Amino acid sequence: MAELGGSAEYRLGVDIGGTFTDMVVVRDGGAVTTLKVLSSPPDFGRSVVSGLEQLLRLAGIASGAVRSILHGTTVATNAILEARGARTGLVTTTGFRDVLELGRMRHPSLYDMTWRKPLPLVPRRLRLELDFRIDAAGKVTAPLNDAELAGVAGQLREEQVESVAVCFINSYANQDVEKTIAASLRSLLPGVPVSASAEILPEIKEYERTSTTVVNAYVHPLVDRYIVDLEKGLYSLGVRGSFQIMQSSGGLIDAGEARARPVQMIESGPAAGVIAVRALATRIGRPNVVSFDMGGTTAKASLIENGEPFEAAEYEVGGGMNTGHGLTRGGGYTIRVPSIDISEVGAGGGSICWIDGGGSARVGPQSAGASPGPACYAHGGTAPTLTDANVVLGYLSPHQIAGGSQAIDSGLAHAAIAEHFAAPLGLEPLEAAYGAYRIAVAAMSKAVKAVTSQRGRDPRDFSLVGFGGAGPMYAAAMAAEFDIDTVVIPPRPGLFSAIGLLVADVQHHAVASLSRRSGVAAADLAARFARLETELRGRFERDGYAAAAISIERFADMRYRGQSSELRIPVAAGQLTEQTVAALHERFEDEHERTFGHRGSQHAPEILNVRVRAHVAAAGTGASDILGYRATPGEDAAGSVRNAYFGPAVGLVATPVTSRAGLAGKPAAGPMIIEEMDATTLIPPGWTVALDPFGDLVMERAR
Amino acid sequence: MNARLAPSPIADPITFEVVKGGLEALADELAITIVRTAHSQVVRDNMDFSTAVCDAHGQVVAQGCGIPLHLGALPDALATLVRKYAGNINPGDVFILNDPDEGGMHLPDIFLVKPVFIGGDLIGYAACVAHFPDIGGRTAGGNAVDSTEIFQEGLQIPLLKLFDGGRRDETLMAILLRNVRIPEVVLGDLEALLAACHVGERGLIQLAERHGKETLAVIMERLLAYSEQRLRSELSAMPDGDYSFEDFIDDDGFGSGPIRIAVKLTIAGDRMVADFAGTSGQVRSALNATPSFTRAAVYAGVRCVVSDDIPSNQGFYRPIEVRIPLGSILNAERPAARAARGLTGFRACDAVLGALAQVCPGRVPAAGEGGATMLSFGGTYADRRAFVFVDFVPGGWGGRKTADGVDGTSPLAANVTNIPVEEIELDQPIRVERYGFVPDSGGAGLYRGCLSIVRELRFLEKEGTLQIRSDRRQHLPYGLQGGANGTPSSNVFNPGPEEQALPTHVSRRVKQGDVIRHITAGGGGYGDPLERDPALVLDDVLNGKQTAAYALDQYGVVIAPDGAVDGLATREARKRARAARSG
Repeated sequence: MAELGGSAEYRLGVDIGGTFTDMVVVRDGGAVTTLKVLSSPPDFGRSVVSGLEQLLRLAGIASGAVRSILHGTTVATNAILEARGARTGLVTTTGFRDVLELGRMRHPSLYDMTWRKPLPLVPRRLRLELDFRIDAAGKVTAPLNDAELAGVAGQLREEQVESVAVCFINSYANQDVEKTIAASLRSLLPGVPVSASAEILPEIKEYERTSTTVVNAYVHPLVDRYIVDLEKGLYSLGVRGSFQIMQSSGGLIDAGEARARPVQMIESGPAAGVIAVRALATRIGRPNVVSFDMGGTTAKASLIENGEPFEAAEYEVGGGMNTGHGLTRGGGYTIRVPSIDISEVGAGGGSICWIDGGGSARVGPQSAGASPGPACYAHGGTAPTLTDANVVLGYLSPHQIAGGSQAIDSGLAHAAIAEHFAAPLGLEPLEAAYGAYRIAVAAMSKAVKAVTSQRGRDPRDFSLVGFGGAGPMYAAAMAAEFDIDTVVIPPRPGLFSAIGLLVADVQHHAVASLSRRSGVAAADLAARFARLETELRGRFERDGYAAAAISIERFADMRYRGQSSELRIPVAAGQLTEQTVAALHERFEDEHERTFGHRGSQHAPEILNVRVRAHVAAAGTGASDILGYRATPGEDAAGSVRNAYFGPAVGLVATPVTSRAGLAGKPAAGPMIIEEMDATTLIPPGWTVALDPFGDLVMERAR
Repeated sequence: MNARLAPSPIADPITFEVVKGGLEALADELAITIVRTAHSQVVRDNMDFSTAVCDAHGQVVAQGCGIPLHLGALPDALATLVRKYAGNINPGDVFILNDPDEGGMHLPDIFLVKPVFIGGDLIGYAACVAHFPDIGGRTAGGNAVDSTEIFQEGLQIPLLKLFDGGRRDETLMAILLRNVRIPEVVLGDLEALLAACHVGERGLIQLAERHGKETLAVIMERLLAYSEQRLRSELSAMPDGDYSFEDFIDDDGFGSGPIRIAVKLTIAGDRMVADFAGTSGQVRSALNATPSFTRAAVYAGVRCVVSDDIPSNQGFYRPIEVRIPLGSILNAERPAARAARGLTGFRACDAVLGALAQVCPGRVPAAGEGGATMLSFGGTYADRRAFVFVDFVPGGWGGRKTADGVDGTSPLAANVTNIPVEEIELDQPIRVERYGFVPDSGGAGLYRGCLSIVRELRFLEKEGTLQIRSDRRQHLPYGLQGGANGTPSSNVFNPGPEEQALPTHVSRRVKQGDVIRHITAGGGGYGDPLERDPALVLDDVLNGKQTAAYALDQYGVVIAPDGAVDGLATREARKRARAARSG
């Protein structure tokens, strides 16, 4: 029970996933209480309010003592996946209303003749054109006719659109004129939100800019309602704290700002997990780590180098697995907003183990999901899953998991593996289950490759942090795959994303494309950066942040002239001179060589976009307290032993099973299994495990 | 489930799956490297390139996500290499090739192949091919249709060592860069391919070190056998017999008239023969294809009707025999020009799919738009710097058994992207005036073909040249199962009162302000248009993809003034249309 302190203040992290809503409340000074409740789609706010009520009661906290609520949510993503967004209109340049539907023309799988292109979020009838044209230099070559604009507004009104996107060809080169037109539309269409591309993404490439702006407009009314309802619900509980939302970039924004730019919060949940890893990495003094997050249906990998995560410039919502390489584009809705680069494959505890038409063993991407779930849950599922394989292998308890809230029927796990996986392969069930484990590791290694070797990073230079419901079960095997010697499993690994919310910064971003790419004078660059910085400081100050608390980072998107993808290069603080610009070019060339193995021998680097990131450090308790671990009274420190199988070379081994508390002060050698409320950690033979001073499990591979 | 490999002591099913995944990921990794580092728009934005990982015999064991029509060509290039350099393949070598008569395709497609060694033992090859933006020759871009012999088409590079034991052949490099119009871009693309080869080398060595050289070799061979057996079991399930189809290219650009592509598919047990006897002879222009390209068209067609999880490797080709008459347009003899062979490959693929539609009805869509069309501008700026702009204009797919043809996507056989309008306007002396769908186009059907796409470009420099390679004006994309044929393509010069219709193949001078409007063909329809769900027709009308008049004319659907389907009038109109048909 946390103490009922009159002056104590609390911060609350709430992470909504498709199945569960995770809540973590932390008191100044570090007492942490957690709660996992079922999500309540489509009205996600309901589970937050009812769960919060329960959590406050559980922790004995007065609602008035909650100072801030930090929130990660999939509400925007789900609106897109389930086509529940607003009736949206698009206003664009004559001759280009089909840009949105044409997209980039690639289909995601080469020979699938049944493929259907995702329906455009704005149907053609609601994509209206204006005889207004800007050229590549930003000059208006065909001026706007006010009567025509009024006509378009009338049409949109008649069609009863609930949201409008505006994106003209080349508007990245003349943002003001598009903003002015958007303002006119706002006054012509009172009550209808208008998203202008010049305000959302003033970047070159018309399809990507249009698509991003349309996604913003499409989810805008729904997210707006969601946030307002949630604020009301919190108010009704007596909670008066500030309310901030996680963005895809890993930074928080005030709820009001999120309502204006909902496109920034699409990947809210996964980003929070990486931010938690970043805080952990700093605390334990390992600035270079691979973040490995494995849940029920997917595994996600991300990279933290020198304490900072990487950013992805672009991804697709609803496009299946995001492998980050852009080779299989066309399956979803493209958005370009700053987001943490996370690569994902379809492998999780619920992934089905199956045999393909050629008799080959496969795992995923189909998942048994929450219903019917793995066979061993005895909810009617008969298909073998990774969870069933782990029961057969002895890795998972044959009786119960999740602190007893989920019973396990190991007979059903054996039957499913034996009948549907082992027999067709001509293998013993134990061998087949071990095979499923290995195949899952091989499949998930693609996600790790995408963020390491495919970016020129040697994974051996990194440690691996495993979390998520299934991550700790596979973390050591994943590390071994890449010759990584150290694995860290934080406390509460199954709730780690919610914890990330409590350690994140508040962040704003701005970008501008240069219309002249080479030979840009240092003074011009400085002016560009200054304008973006002023804009961001304004946003912070509107939300009441002190100017002194704001720190600014500058970046340049650079490439060799002629290339189509850019590298994001940090621009050193201080005055920009011709020398510092030259140094910037040098840094780009170094990074290019590092990432791709060569320098361009005849091409000058060019700057495509300039970006500014402004942030204010998270208020509240220090990260170490939030991330820390204290054994809960009653946590079972007593151990037991069960047989676990580690492949033909090692065989079946009597393996000690204990809890994190049971390990305290006693480094141990694998094989060992550590069972906790929210996850099971596997320490294979050849690895040792110890608790560090913060309560993390640190595994080391014997060399 | 009869496609099973015998068990192997060295490659258990689990290790097999793990290594197979590793090889496939590696081939993709090569492709990622090219996308990220290439310089030309045609490579980086159109993604006109392919990659592969091969075994020590030069057999393709894994292919990167790329252009299906390229993928069949890599085996020929590797076969030439293994034959020509037997005993002289060494660590540090990188081979280069673009000669169509040595396993290449057309001159702009440059192949790089790097043998991979561990301790002196050859364990495999990394290979890639990309369409370069220029290769010299009489026209910028190297795609001209109106060349009559290969000597006009640019620099020919027989299979040579670009690197010999790690040392670059500076003579070859100097000749190559001296013979192209935009040497810095060509060099940039070449470096991208080299980077991909290095990535392939590193990855193959890692796989061999992790699993053992011998295991890797065994699994590579088993991977080929696996694809082979999977295809054999699918072929066994198809009804034996002969299935013939023919399709046409309108013209070779020199007034040849229709060019016939005839194919007879024979299914016999677990094998297939594709015989192109009856196909027209090689033509005067550059539409001639290589046998490797023709085979690729057959493989791509077959891939479309079988399970899409059969690994893409050379084992897939073993059950298929392709016979192509020497001296035909599909197997031209030197010194035939071949720059524009892409179009011929598309048509060969259409012909194969037309025959497959009889083998497995329902699995094959009606013909797509038949492209992609190629448009290119070239010239020099006032400061005499050269510019070359190559644009592919893809259209979409034909109608299918359960869905309309996709509006706005690449042809099945060439998964290319379009180039951003704003990138074109920033980098090239071109303004894009229009890019979008053309209403009332495409073939009607229970499920309609894709709409035509219009791309309108205005030339802004003083003067230059314009090249167009297009087709499908007389011989339209075919419909299936009662669906209408697609609609024709067109090229209009300076649209307006003074407009001029241009032929399908164009090579001409242009001056400042000239506009070319290209409209792609519309795809063929699938099934009877009079059976189409009126709600789908209404949806197209409301979205401006069709007019109400067209809906009535093609589908017998009557849209009432209030914007809803008039059910009664529609039934009547359809009854009349059916009567007129049978009368």
